[in-house]
Amino acid sequence: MHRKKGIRENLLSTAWLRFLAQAGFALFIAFVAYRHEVVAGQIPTQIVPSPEAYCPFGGVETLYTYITTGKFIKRTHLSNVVVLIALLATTLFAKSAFCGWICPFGTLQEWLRKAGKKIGHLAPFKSLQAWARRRAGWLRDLDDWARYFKYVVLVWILWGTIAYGIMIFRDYDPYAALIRITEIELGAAAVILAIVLVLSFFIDRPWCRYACPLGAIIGLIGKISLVKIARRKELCTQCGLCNRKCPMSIDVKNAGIISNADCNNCLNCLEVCPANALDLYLTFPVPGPVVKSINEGRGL
Amino acid sequence: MLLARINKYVYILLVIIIFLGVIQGAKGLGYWSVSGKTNSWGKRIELTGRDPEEIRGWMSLGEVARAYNIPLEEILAAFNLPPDLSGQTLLRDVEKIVWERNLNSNFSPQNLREWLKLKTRGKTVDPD
Ligand code: SF4
Ligand code: SF4
Repeated sequence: MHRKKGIRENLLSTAWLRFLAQAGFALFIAFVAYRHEVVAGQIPTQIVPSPEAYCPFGGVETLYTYITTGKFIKRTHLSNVVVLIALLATTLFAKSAFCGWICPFGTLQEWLRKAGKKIGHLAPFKSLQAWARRRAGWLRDLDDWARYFKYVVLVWILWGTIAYGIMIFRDYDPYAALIRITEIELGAAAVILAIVLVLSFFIDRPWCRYACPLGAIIGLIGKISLVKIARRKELCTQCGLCNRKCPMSIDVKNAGIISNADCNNCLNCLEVCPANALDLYLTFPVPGPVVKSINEGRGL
Repeated sequence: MLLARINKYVYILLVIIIFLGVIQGAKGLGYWSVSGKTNSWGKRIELTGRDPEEIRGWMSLGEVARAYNIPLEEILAAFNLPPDLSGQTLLRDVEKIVWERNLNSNFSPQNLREWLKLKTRGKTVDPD
């Protein structure tokens, strides 16, 4: 049975701290977007940065041009490169913490999912859930395969941006559509945004799971991050709470060191584990297969 | 290889410190610019008056006139623009005005650049 948490425990819970961090970064971007729309419209000569100037993916897109020519592709700036470097440093230390703690688009999807869970008991959603339960095996396979799609997106963007020297992804980028929402342009990006927002009510972080090219980069680089979550087999009671609380459907209860590229370091599993079997560890950066053999050797 | 356990609060703090620290560090070193309108020190990019390629759509007619030492009226006349058009009008807005008022002008920032290139070489040409 779970003991009820006190106020102090609640305020110090990772869920609450994560909410604060996510809300802080999301509000900052919302404020920048508001200023860009309102102030820039009223005083055209004033320099008001666009929220796109803070997007690390702009840094990925412009990096090749910046390194080879010292210039930036259209709509990207030095700030994009700097935020990308900050993201890479964070990833080398803490794996996908950017996704779980900072990215405003991940935050939005997460909050919509919470809302989705609240309305899950309504009749149309109940029948949808029943439909999904009947096809659970098939949907799980689809989910497993669909997660590789983000790597295809990444390769396409890198190839296109280097070949054409423009942001080829911008017309399809739901985040770019979101931060320019007042411009209401009904293009591919707006359609993708609408699909992602609707899916977010039913699936945890659909964009992060299946299509985010930045998530793909972070997941790959995060494999060699310094800090990782690990499960101590001797403490684990196999209750499965961690698996139930994991938004990325990772099999935590059977993992050793969690090096799964989809883990966003939300720390839900850590917080929920009643046996304290999960913890954060400073690890020596070693590639996946080595981690696997270490896990087996240590009985993790 | 697991080396040591890390307190989760230390971890959270370090995540935020590393992310914001790199950004603040870059800003401190002057390696930061959020707009094509500013240099890496955050100062507004000013026209030098030497190379028309530096002209951007967010600049105003008046800025261009001042930097290239050409009377505003001459630019307006060269592009068939209304003589009462304010020098504060941004170049990208001039294009909009031409389109909205259906003016007989081929004004665009690119055409202005070309015209200035010829003009600064000492030749005056009709932009049409
Ligand atoms: S919540 Fe903890 S004890 Fe339960 S299965 Fe997961 S790791 Fe094991
Ligand atoms: S494995 Fe743990 S930290 Fe990673 S996404 Fe799942 S719940 Fe969050």
